[in-house]
Amino acid sequence: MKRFLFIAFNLLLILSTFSCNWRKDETYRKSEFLLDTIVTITVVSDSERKAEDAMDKAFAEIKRLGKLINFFSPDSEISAINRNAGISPVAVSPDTYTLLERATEISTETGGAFDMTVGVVVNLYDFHNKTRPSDALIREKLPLVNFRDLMLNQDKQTAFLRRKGMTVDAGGIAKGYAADRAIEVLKSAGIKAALVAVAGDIRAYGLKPGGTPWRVGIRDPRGKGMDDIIATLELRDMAISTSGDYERFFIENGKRYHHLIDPKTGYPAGGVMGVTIVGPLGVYTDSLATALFISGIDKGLKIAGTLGYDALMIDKTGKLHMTDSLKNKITLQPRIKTNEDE
Amino acid sequence: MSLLKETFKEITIYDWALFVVLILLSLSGSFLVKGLALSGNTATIEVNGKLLYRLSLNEDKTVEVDGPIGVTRVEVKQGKIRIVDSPCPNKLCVRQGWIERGAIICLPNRVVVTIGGGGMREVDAISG
Repeated sequence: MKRFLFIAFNLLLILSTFSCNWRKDETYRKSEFLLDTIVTITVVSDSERKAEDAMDKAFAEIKRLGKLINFFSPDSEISAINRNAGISPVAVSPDTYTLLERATEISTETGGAFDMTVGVVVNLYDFHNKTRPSDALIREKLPLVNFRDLMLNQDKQTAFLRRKGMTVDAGGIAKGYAADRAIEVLKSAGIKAALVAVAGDIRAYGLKPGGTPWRVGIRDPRGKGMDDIIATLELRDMAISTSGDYERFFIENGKRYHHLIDPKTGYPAGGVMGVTIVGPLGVYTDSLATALFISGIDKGLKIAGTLGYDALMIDKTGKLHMTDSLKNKITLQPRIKTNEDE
Repeated sequence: MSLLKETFKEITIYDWALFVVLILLSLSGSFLVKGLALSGNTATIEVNGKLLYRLSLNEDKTVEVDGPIGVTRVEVKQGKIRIVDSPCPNKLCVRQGWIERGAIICLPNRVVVTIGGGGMREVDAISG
């Protein structure tokens, strides 16, 4: 009897020690407004102080990047390149150079569907006041759009736009790159799992407490708001980005004019409502989401397959198309038709 | 000998162990339920990343928060929450209307209204 009591007491003691003193991994989350959007960082750590410290460092890194590439700030390196278009090459920091180099890579891979110089035409559309440029104005500005006229010199680390009036804007690639950079900073601060969401450009690293992967929802392009999702995906050491015709748009005579402008025509790309890309690096998922939107379903899926990135594309009728490898990873919310329905 | 006394005599160490386990289970159960009941019943209002309000959705209330470009008015009514008025140019946050889950984000005035202290219980983030 005494022995039984002794064992039982010890068991309870062990249990209580585990539940109270064992330093458990927990998730910590913080948001800041950076890069003209909301950035949310979630980290897994056994210490709140370590988590806070790491998150602050990651936010600082994104802020630093933002200063380099802000299109609207006259002090940014991007503005310096734009001011010197047709005049002279501009020496840039390694971060800006890398970003421009990656962008050029994706532009080449996608035959110009992604183009950092498309801003001169996109900015002719006023999505706030719901006005669009005349056809003549689009025709006049379109020759200033061509990523091949952005000359990068690796030895001198300079960037140069060949013709006056041209501009580069890192908007279509910077958020994914920022998520990549933030994850690197968190890693070197000793964090073993994290999720960085720069608006809809998200990079997951490691596993959540309990060993489960991060779960990311994909927004329904015709849903009521940000929280209406059409599918979920479990991610571990992967990035995800989504581009949609619902982000900035207006409707005129039943036609939707959105911000995803085809660099070849100067008009919004048709045929697609939303594109989600999944792959190892945010810098590529971000730019590819735009590129595949412009390319359309058939060409888009082909590009994703070639580059080894997963893609989910939603066509104008709401039907889902995706790369084969994505089919067994994605969980669809029952609502939208898929191409298997027919 | 009364029945009660007899019953007590027959209680073994295993019975006691069972009691302890049952008590622990019921205690942990009540904590679990408390945790579940809290989620979804509260809304938080953050401005520029700073938590300003944690409101119960069971109590109707209107609050005003100061953002970088002005005052955003947030209303709680019958378990729902909305942004009534905002100084932002496009009023997307106001147009979103009443929500019972998820979040309303007003980028220009840096206001984030979230239900359930995170808004995304099922997913960790949303791409879109």
